[in-house]
Amino acid sequence: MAIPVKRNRKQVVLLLFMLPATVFFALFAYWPIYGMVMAFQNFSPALGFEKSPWVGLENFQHIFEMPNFLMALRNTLVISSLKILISFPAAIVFALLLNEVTRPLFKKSVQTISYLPYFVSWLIVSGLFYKLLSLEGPLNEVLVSMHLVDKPILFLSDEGLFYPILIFTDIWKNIGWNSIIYLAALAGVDPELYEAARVDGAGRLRQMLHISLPSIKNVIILLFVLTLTSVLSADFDQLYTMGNPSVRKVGEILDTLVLKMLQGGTIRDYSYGAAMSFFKNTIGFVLFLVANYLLNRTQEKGVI
Amino acid sequence: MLSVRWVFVALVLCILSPMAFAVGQKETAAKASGPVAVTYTSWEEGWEGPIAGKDEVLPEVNKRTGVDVTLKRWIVTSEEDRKRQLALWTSTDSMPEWTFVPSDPYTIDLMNQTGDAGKLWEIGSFVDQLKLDSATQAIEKLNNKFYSSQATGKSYVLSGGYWDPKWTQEVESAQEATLIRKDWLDKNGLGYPKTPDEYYAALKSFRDNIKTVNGKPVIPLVMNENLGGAKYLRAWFFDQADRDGRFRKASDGSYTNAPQIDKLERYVVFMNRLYREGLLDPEVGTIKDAQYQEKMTSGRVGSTGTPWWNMNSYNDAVQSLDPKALYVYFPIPKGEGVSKPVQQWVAPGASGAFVFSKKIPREKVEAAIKVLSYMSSVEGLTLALYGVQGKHWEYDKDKKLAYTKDFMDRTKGDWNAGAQIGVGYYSIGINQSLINSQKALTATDLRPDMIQSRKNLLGTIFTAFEPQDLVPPGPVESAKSSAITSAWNDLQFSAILAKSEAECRSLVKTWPAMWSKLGGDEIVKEKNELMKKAK
Repeated sequence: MAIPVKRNRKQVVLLLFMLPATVFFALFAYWPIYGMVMAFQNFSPALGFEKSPWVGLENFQHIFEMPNFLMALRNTLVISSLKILISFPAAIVFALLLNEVTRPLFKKSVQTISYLPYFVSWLIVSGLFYKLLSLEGPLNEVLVSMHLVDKPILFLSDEGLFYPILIFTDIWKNIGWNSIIYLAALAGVDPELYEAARVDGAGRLRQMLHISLPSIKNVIILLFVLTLTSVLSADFDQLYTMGNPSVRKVGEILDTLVLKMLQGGTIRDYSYGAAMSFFKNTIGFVLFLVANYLLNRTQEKGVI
Repeated sequence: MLSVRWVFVALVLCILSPMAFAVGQKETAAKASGPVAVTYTSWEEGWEGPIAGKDEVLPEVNKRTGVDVTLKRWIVTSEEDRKRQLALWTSTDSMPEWTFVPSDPYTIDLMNQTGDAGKLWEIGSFVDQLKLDSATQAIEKLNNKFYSSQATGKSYVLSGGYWDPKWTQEVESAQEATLIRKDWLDKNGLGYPKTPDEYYAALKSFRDNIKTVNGKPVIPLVMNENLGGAKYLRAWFFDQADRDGRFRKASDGSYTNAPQIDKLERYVVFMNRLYREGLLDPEVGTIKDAQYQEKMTSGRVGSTGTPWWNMNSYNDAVQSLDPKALYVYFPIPKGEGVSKPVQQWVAPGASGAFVFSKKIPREKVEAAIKVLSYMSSVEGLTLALYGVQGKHWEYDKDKKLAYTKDFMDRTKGDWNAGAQIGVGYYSIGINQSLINSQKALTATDLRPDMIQSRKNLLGTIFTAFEPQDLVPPGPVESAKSSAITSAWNDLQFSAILAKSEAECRSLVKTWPAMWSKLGGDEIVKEKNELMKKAK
């Protein structure tokens, strides 16, 4: 059956609306992917992609043979896992609890205050916490003056305390912002469902567990799968600014290791950086495909 | 068939075109007979430059040289920003006409690759046009050879200055060293430390006898981020333990930079002891620059390693709390194995470099060389560093160059304020020490901390080029040395922060194997091969 002319014209108009965004993504997202060829070259800006010599997998070999590569990989996976296990559900719990607040003014105030730290850069946040947790900082002063400790604690030098500090600062900074999408999803839940549940005798907690949570299941799955794609990143900004030599054994991640190794400042840095980026993105992409496949297999709806 | 209208248009064009061409030629000819115009793009990273329309030096330079130089300020916010912009210029073949760039290995390497790709002028033939004295000319040629392309041997970079032995012995010899509280030494009846044990005793006396400042405990020794400042202690007391990768002659006549484990061990064990006994700042592993500055200006620190301009600021800050406080550089001690004064600058190098785009004609390059020659003369250096006589400076009663009262009132002695009108900004001349002896003492020179520090250090730091310093790093060294440096820094930290001396020593003993694993032996092999070729 032929498509009616009026509908065909509407389709063309819709396609034209999409054109600017398509061109934008094609130019600034897909076209630059060609630059990944740098990972297989000894790239020089003076020679460009066409004339820079091809070195195959040499750059990857150099990266994998770096001392402490395995330590950095382990740290990256541990930190990412901790964030997935703690920070990820924290935003969900926060959104669920905030959704239960009935006073609009209080709810909006809490929401605003909670996502304000998101807009503060990690450079400022790390400076703030370094000051707070330093030997003569306010926290140590309080602990010593209240005789809770005999002498000040070197919080930022303690390997055992580094991960808790990381997770705490990550949650403090991002919980508000990360909860926004869940709150938006919760706002779309039909109120009659809650009404019906109340009639059936369900309390607030049961309503949360059996109505709110299942309603945002798809959003949780989507964000979880997307989080998996950046499992080898572990938030470079945070680790670069919060890390220090005392906690290098637990705080060195792949990105900070590469940055340190490449701070000798040679032109080969472009290729090494591209190789690390290629490696991380490949792993992330594979994890994404695996997670999506498993979701489809378990009859949950995958991302794609 | 063509219409009459189009025939008429064609006729008009045929008549007008030659006329337009002739006028154009006449304009070009008129331009050619005037001064050569060249744009000078100058790198700025954290300092001021001339404000448009207020430059009082460049017009004078143009008048005296007969070259029409236009300044274009290249302001960058960071090293990464600078590298990005340079990469953009080279990849898009849009290098400015005449550019002043830093002389770090990345930039030199990039400029050489750009030159080999045919985008920069080879400067070999232009060096002879520089009107320099023979000694300066020789060092200029040495620098240019040092900076030449490893692939082709051609030079594209004209160095903008170099570490002159005379310069480092004179005014600037107190550049970077280890500060100590002179007033605290006096209070404890101690002289300047000459050995590690004496240094240890001084730090201990600060902690035990001075104890507190404004109710907070004294910190005998503080380092900046990443053990900033430690290298001076390492150099002075432990004969530059591991010498930051510098090559030395081995007993068999070959060159090596393999770890000298005994000296390294003495250094880290000493620092570890300071750390464990609380004489080294407990926050040495976590300190950030802001915290370091706070500690240094609090009056609680006994010793640190830092450049002289920081010494001035720290003294001003602590003297506002205690007028008798005084940080000075202490004399270079004769530590274990140190048999002669320390060589501070040990490789050829320049403070910056000039490159010329191949897109400009030869005459523009020659015009720029003419300007550089002038700026390297006594007259040109005086104009660049001091400005115009009568307006910015005069001779004092000792016939020395001194800034005028008007200039000092305008700038308050601030270099940046002077640079905004061009004074001090165009210090691109080679061999600035030429006029050092003509300089009157400034307010900075007359400070007690500067007088005492120069007295302590003068004549003890010098430059010596040894043959291995004149051969630039090869591709293996360029590729692998940063990993070795990074691993060495990590080891240094781990050993200094070790909980016991035994742990510290066992960590140090792992260094030779790590150095080899990271390619140290390959670097040594390459160096010796390059040395043979260079002969």
